[in-house]
Amino acid sequence: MTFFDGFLYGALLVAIMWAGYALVYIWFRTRNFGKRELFSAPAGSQVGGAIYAFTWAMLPWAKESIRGNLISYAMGIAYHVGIFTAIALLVIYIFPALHDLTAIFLYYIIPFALAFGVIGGISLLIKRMLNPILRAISSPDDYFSNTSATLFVGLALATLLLSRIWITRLWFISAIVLFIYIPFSKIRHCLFFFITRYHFGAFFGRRGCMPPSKTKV
Amino acid sequence: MATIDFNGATVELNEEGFLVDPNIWNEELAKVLAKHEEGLDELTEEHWAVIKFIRSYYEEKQSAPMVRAVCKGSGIRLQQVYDLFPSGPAKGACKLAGLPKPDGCV
Amino acid sequence: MPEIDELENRINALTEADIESGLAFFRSKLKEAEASYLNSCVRCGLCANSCHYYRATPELENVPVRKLGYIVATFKASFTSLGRIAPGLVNAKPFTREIIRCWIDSVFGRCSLCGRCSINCTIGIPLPSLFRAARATLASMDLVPLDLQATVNNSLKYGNNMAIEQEEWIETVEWIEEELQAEVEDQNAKLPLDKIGAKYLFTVNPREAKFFPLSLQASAKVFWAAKENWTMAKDVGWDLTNYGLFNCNDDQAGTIFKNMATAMDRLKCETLVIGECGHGYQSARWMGPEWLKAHFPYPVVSFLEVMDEYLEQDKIKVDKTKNQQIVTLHDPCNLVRHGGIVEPQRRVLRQSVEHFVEMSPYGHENFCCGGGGGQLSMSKYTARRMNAGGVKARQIADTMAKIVATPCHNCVDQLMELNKEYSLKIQIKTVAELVANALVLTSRKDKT
Repeated sequence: MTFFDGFLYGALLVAIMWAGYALVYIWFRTRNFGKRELFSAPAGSQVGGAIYAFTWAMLPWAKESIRGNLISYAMGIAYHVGIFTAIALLVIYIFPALHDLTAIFLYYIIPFALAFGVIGGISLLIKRMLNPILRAISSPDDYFSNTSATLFVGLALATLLLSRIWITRLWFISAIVLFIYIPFSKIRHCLFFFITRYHFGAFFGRRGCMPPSKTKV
Repeated sequence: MATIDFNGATVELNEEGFLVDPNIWNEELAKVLAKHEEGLDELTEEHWAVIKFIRSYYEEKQSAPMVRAVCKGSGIRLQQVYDLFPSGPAKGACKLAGLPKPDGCV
Repeated sequence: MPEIDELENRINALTEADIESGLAFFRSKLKEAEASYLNSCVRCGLCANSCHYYRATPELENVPVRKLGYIVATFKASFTSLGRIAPGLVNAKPFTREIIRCWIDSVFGRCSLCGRCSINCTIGIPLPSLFRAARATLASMDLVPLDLQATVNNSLKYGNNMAIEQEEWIETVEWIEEELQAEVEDQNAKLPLDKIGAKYLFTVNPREAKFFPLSLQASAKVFWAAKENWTMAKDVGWDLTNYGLFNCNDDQAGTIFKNMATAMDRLKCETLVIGECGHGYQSARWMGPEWLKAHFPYPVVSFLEVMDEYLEQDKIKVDKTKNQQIVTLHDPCNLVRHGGIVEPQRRVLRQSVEHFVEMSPYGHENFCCGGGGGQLSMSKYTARRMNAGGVKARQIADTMAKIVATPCHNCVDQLMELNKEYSLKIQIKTVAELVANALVLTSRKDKT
């Protein structure tokens, strides 16, 4: 390992710690807004609503917005699977001991997941650039977030397929950039998605609206 | 904002077809509103009984009467009021009588 | 248009201090949950098609995330470090007159608070809660469209939103009592006022008293058939509406709600029954306790639940052949998506009408009629409302139904307008009107 590689490992560790620290900081800032005390008598369960929100409510047929946008849904799933796979691969590279254990995945599953991730990320980026409504609602961050994450997944794939040290280094640099950028970006939804969705499920669960009743004609 | 032609002049209506200036109302204008807003080609005696009662109530009290008062004052039965004015007492009859739009769920 | 000029004048007259205090008020309306929502939108844009405004007119300003974007922009610029350091990166925009105009146009002018976007949101952001915070902020700055505020002011001044005097209310109730007695040929059919200790305190929409009392007569007929011990308040407290839910001024909403709470205390009834009304139900059942910051010692139920129970317990009998025409059901957003009352109205209708068909989609995925969120009271946005209502009109036309039942007077009114605008040739009825028509009264007559 060269000094430069050692520096990259160190920088990556710092970037991950930064992302973790900054996300927790932002989370605490939102918590400082305070809890809302509720007085109305509940009609259903907050927990039940939240469980529904994280499970059945996310299935492709549960929402009209998915049923009508199955391609976007598939691309989004592929993109997220790709990102989590790339992070897993990063862990494998940081801890070489894992390398042998995961060898079978490394060559048969992970490359496909990464490739789908790249396709998902690029297609969503193109959609954002071409669709006039999406373009109008987008901020620069929307493009940076997508680009930095897609690049991270793409370089992970290149690392795996090409086995060139400079590509691996580029991949590590992209990871460092990504982790530093997360707290400044909409990628903070990696935390707030779960918080928001919990509140969403709890709100409708408490009111007896979720899970929705099975109406029959 | 919509307008309608009335004897060569332009009359302003609000977004829901009520007169912007309730004071310019007269019976001729009511006929034009009936055609334009309610699709009524002709106003019968019963229509006029309702419209005139609502108008005189409004001129006295500056508000729309309860439908009970309309029935009592005009001698028209409740169901008949709905039959006469397809949009109902508020958006039908009160509008033709030149009243401003009543507040609330109407 | 005088309305626009007046609001525009007020915006122009805002001082820096007014804007600052507006912002502070906005901050006070946000809790942990809302602050999280404001941090989680990824602008995927999949909410666009869930909105009936966008469906009817697919333009940028009608996309829910666009409307939310104005609020997020202010939040970021004012309450986040990132928004202050790098506003351009995240589209943070300070709370200026220009943004205030966008807030008014989007949260009052292009939203009925129906919540359909929230159940279709990829993340699960309850957008109406943020639109409410924005409306509340505008209310604190006296920037509520005048006719919506006038409706709230009526309730504050008269105890009902149509400025009905107590005497007029009592006379109308007596009149409907006579009509009911004639209809059922029973002098004991009553519409009791101020009956202390009755089981149910029933509340109505002033629109019924003022212009459409047949629905009140229908509800009373159901109570009569079930031999119920019920009453309505003689003084304020008979009106179930609360447009404070729409101008989002919680103080005013609480004051209005107190009328019903006070009537409950005064008349010592067991249960508060909200007549067929979407926003009235959400107000009383879910928001009232929050506005007053109090737990209620009594249950608050919808009249639909009462009718459902009557049928289940055989307290009333219905003959569905009396309603021969095809009936479909419009779900009020406040009652269904935000209220959790989905099945009772369906069980009741399936027993009371011969041909019941659902719209597509229905239940918690239904489309707003277009008249919710106070839209019916805001004349300025009439053209947008009627246009957005076209989605519902097409849904109705597709069912081939001749009668649209809806447990909400606000929806009834919008549907009546849609009927005219889109030549639907339908009748619009409340659920109680259909039940009352199907009641089997023979057993009752034998006893009397």
